[in-house]
Amino acid sequence: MRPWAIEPSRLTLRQLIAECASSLVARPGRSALTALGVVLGVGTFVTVVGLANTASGQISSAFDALSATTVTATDARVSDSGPFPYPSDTDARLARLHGIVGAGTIWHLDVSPDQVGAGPTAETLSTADVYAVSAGAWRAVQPRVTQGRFYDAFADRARQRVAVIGAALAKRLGITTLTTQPAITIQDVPFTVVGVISSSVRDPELLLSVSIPRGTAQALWGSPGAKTAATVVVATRNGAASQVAGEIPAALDPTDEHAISVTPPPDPRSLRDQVGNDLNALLVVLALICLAVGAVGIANTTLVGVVERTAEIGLRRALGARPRHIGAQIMGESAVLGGVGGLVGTSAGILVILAVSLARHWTAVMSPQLALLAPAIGLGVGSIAGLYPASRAARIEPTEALRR
Amino acid sequence: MTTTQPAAVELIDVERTYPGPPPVRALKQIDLRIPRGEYLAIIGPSGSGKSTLLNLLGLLDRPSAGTYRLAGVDVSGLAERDRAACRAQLIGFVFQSFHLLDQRSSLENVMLGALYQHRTEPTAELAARAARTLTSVGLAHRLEAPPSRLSGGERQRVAIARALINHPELLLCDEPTGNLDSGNTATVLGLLDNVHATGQTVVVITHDPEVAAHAQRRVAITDGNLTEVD
Ligand SMILES: Nc1ncnc2c1ncn2[C@@H]1O[C@H](COP(=O)(O)OP(=O)(O)OP(=O)(O)O)[C@@H](O)[C@H]1O
Ligand SMILES: [Mg+2]
Repeated sequence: MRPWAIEPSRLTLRQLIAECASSLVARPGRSALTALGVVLGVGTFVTVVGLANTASGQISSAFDALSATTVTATDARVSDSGPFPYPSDTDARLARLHGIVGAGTIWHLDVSPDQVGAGPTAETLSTADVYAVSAGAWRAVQPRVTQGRFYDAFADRARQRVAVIGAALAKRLGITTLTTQPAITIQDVPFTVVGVISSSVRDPELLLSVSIPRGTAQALWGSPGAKTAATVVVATRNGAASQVAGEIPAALDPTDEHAISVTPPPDPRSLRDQVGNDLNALLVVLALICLAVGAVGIANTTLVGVVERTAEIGLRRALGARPRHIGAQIMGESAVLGGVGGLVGTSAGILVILAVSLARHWTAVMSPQLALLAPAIGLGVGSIAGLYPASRAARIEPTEALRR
Repeated sequence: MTTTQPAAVELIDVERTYPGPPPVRALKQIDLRIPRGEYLAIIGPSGSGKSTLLNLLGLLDRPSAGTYRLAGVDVSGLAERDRAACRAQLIGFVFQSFHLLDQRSSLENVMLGALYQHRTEPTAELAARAARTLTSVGLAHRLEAPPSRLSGGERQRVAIARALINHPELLLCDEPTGNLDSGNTATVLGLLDNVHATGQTVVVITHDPEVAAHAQRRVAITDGNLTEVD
């Protein structure tokens, strides 16, 4: 029965937030100290999870960059029909596959080491291997060139007598510059050195060896034979490896899919999962304890605040607040404290992760879910901590409160 | 005309007993009728039940027995939700100890008076209204001052502005001059006279005969019993 049609008291969400904020800002020191527990808890949590992600990210990024994107294929035919010939357009056929970064053929040439010699001084070498490397293979192996360049597909087709040698070998041969067009001989055939490579992650052997174009090698010493089986090296884009691996046999020999055996990369996930699990669990428990302590801190301070602000609560009731408005405000205040503590903790955690990553030369890995989840955790902790003080505040009798 | 218009307040056989032990009968069978626009003073010795009566009138407390009609409507049985709505829209309170929030400016304290209204108005509008109300109590120059930097009289004027911002039907003052010297008392009484002059119903609890003298009518409470004075 409300003949005046008096509408119920109301506190909009905006008003509620404004009231919470202004109450918290009114006591800045206390608010900061109260939120500290949540800052530490969320900060620890973010740091632990973030560092774990970052650390395993290092493993997987090294992994992704190399193993996870390398596919090799070898001759699988054991029949009498002879070794697989690897068509001369192998590079081009593979380059057409989707997800390929580079592909080419490499085989070891059966030339004896003492037949390798450096140009003018003609000093013979006891240990140096010679490889036939198709032009496309350079894009797959991706070695670093310190001097000169790789030979290209034209050199391959034109059977040019050019060579790329490893930096270590160049040093042994006394080759310091390519401007003089140094030459080396292999079985009395002179080759011009056009490039020197240092570091070659996919095929480190090339660093100690002489690499010559596939076409040149084939013309001089024949196709890859049983003794010198060729390998197809393929670099793929991230995530494309297994798909590419499935397509390679048909691309090389549409008539016999079993002529080629393909080795796809191992699954990186199994490796990633076992990294530092035990330590992480312990630290996460520690972070949870910090959060619990933070929650107790907020609950305690908020409860003390409710007692101190009894008169204010009585006044608000006299001004028309319903018990739920009082409860919502107290709960809101501790939720805001928790949320802000969570935000500060997340930022601090991210800073720690960045600092550690910088010091260790890691790439910091921070999942966006974690960056969003962590402040939400603070908000949740604050809300839970505010439940009891809020219900106490809502039950305060205005007549008692105003007697103060 | 007065017969058709309901009284602002009508108490019929109202009792208030505080459950003990021992139980205290703070109000005994109170009958009180306050016509609209009246300025009433309630006097009585300490512990006689004045504040208890004011809390009942202000819907902060419920009678143990009896009927309370506010502007003609029986409010004795209302749920807290509706009592809060009545406090927000029909009743203004002024307390002896001001009850201002120290961390907020005079203006913000006055704006707090409209916080729980059903109708939410833009902050700028509300602030302008609060500033006008503060101006009407003579504090146009102290809008931004926190209560801690106001004199006692100024603080009570802020509290009165807070009570008036919603134009309440009923202004309830519990010892409004209890903490003030004679000069400030005069200022506050002048303000209450103004409020009365605008047609609002004013009820003032006081020890002070000078304060009681300002009212149109005086009732006395002794030991929970209400009697007319004069
Ligand atoms: N919550 C309570 N519980 C029990 N007794 C109470 C309670 N509140 C008030 N009383 C008693 O009720 C009686 C009336 O109290 P009330 O506060 O109304 O007096 P008052 O007239 O306002 O006195 P004063 O002038 O000192 O403020 C007193 O005897 C008091 O002790
Ligand atoms: Mg009293």
